[in-house]
Amino acid sequence: MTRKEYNKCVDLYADRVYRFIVKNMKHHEDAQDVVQNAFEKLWLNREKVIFSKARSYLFTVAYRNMIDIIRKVKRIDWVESVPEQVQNSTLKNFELRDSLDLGLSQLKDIQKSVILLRDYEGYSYKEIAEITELTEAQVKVYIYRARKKLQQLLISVEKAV
Amino acid sequence: MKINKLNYEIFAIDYIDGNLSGDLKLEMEQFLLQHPALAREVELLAMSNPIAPDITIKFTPKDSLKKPVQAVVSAYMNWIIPICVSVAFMVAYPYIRTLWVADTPAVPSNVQPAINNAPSTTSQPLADNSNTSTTHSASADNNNTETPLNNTNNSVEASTNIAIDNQANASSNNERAIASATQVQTANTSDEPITIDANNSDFTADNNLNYTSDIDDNETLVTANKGAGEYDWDDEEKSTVDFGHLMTTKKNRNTLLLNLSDADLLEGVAHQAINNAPLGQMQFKPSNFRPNFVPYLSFSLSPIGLGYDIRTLNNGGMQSTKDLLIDAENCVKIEMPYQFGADLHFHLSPRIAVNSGFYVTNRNLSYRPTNAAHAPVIDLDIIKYRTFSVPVSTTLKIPVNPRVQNFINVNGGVAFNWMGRSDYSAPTGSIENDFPNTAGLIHTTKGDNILISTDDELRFTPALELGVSYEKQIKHAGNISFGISYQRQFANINTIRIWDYNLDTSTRSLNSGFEMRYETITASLKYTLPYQIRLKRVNP
Repeated sequence: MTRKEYNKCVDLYADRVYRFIVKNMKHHEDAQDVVQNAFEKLWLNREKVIFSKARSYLFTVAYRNMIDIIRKVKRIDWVESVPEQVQNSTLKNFELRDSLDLGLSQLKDIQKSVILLRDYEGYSYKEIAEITELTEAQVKVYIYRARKKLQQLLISVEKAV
Repeated sequence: MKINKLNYEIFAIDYIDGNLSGDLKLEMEQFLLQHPALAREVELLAMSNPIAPDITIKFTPKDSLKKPVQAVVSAYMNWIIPICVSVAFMVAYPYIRTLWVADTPAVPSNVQPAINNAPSTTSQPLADNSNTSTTHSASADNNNTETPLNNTNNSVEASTNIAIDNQANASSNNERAIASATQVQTANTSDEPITIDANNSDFTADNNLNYTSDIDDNETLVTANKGAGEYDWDDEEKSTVDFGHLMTTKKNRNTLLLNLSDADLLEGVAHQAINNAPLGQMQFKPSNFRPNFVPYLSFSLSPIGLGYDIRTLNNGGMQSTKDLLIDAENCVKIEMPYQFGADLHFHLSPRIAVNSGFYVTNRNLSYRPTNAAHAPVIDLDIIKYRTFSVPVSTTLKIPVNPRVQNFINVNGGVAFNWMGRSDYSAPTGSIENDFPNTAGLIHTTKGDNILISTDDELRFTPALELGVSYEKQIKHAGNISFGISYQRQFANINTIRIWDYNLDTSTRSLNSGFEMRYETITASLKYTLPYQIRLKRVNP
């Protein structure tokens, strides 16, 4: 990969990787660190990574780095830790985007990752499996359950509003 | 695979996406018919839309990720090109040289050639073909007795404080012609030195006709010493003085004015009449712009050069790492580089030299808090590390003043650099033993112990080197020059590592590493010794 191609990767993918990471981590500074690390790694390995594979490389590196940080810092609150009453009381004030964000935040981390990769980035199940080191079947199951859960949440939001 | 309640989610996703093949699709539909609740669930999911990306979320420090785009030429080509240019220039040099050696000689307006009407197409002395003489200067023409051989007091150009009773004036329009045969007869017996004014050059001779030149150390005028027998006025062979070099130094002028003052008689006669000359004759070969240059070697010393690192590159990026960050509060600073070395110059011509040498560059690292950028450095010289450099360059010497050997030198070429060893000043001796590359221990403002190390592996780094200097001759004492050079390395030359160090357990962990590559401007002083090694015998 040339220097020019690397810079193009920054233009094309920095926002997308960041969006994917920050939606998962809910922590802007950590997400920025993850993105910077991913691009730093891409730069160091630019001789090995071809331009057409750069996006996949970036998401893979960023995802694994994010998992490491999550495991280490335990900064993310999982759905189990969010009281349902609090959720319901605040739902009325939420717009759709906020509802989606809330819904995403209540998904398990792996469910959230796979559904974001699928919906945000349009990755195939096979590509998602490679990034997340899961099987294709596992990816499908996680996505199915994530969609189901999001749907239930959105229905409950509509009812509340 | 049979679809059941345990695995239906896998197939449901493909079913919703429309990716199930015929048989599986039928099987899925049958499964959903058997399980209405699941069918309702799948139906609802099929109606839901994918999550749209929140495009308001952007990575703002995007520019910090980007790397500046360099010139199209790759790093590999960057140092190949200077080599090719240098080689091409050396190959083309003989042709380039003809551009300035083929010029028509500039005859000073105040000097009338002694023999100015000779068709100079052959190698015969001009005087051979001449039947006329100059009007006011002493001419040499053996076939024309109109020319007074004892013509005196024909001063063309006066020399201060010296009685000019005699003069010799000679010229040649032919490249290889032997020009001039001049008469000089003198009655002056002054003890003062004789001045030979060769177009205002600094020739001197004593009363014994020992001629010397101050013009150029590498272009010595052939000594004519009658008394010592080195110059035999009655011998044609020996009495030919080669002024070729002189002409070179004097911008290839082919007119030489001699103001002599001596009891000896120099009688201007034509070439073939030499045996008839009363006392002898003096001839010279002006060589008409094709000087008899003799390639030679010279040697110079560069005792001090102070540099400024424009950039020190990290990991191929362009961010400055002159301050190597240890943490948010502390950094290691790379101080001003200083260098010394020596050069060998191979002078291919008066204008071209090829140089090579050996240089040592030292850089000191010191420590300071980051948040006090202008605060005094806390701990100086914790690391001294040096790099070695072998430059190979070509110098074009542009004369500033034709009368003296002052030049503006422009040089370009490549340099090969590698790391030398570091000097350590670690406060605890065991650290040096435990970590041979470790150069120093810092106690940071945060209370941490930090080790700084540099590697000293032999890592050759090609570099481009360009420079310009002013060279001034110090009479008989060599030349001194002051110049500015620019060097840019095209590969990393060493790694500076910063370690977190536990004094209690003597363990370390890598904090950060910096691949160093320098781009530096250096101002230096150079002294060229007045000794030269000629690589060819001088023509008699």
